[in-house]
Amino acid sequence: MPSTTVTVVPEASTETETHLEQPWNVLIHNDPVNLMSYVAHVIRKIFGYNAKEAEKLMLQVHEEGRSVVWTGARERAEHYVQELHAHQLLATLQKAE
Amino acid sequence: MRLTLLKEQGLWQLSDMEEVHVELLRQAADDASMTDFPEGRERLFPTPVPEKEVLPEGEFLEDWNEYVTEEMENQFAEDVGTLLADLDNTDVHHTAEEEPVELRFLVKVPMEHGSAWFSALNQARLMLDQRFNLHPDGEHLELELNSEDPGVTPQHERLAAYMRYEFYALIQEWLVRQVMADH
Repeated sequence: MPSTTVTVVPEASTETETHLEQPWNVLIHNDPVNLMSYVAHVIRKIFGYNAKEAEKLMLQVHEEGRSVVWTGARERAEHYVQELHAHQLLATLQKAE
Repeated sequence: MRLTLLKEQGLWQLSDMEEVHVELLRQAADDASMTDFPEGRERLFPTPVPEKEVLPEGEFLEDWNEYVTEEMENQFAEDVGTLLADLDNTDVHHTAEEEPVELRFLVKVPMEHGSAWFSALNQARLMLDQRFNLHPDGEHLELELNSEDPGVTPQHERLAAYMRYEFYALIQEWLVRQVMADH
């Protein structure tokens, strides 16, 4: 009776999976043109934060040059950055550390 | 010029406008133009990833530029069109008591056009800032009208641009607090 050798090849996790699973930050960057009241308004509108939280994030953008306004899945992060650009704010997505 | 919320009618209005105000508002459409202005395009359609990530994100950025940018470009153009169309409905108006010596103008705008107006005026301010370097080194502009530097934009043009920039900002500040907050 012939013997059978079974070799188990571990399933390689693809780069894409890793890429999508890790959390991503959405950042708003300061610019000298957009009104502070507008930046707070957009943060509330897009992310649903209350007025106090939106104000805090807006001030962080203004004083520190940028603020992480949301962290989560890549696809959603892309959507938020698109929304922020549509409101003419400077925004980027970055891998969360 | 007076800005008034007419909540029950679902409108807001600009009244007591002098001709120059109407002209300035029409000028916003030209100010917002990105034609032959790559720096302006870069500001209105910024990269969604930091500079160092641009290469690894190649395919994502190609898709972004093809689909997202095109959609935003259409939206921004539509917003400017909304402002201009509303301005086409500008009327001459007079106070009830007496006819003013100079003509005064009035335009009524649907509440739902508030965001489009804001966007159009914002595009204009973003482009003015880029074209006329209104925030050198991130600071507020300081102009010395007597120190003309040949070869650069004349100071009086920068001053005129700055005046428009501030005029648009005044309306925007009112819109974001009175119209967009509720709508």
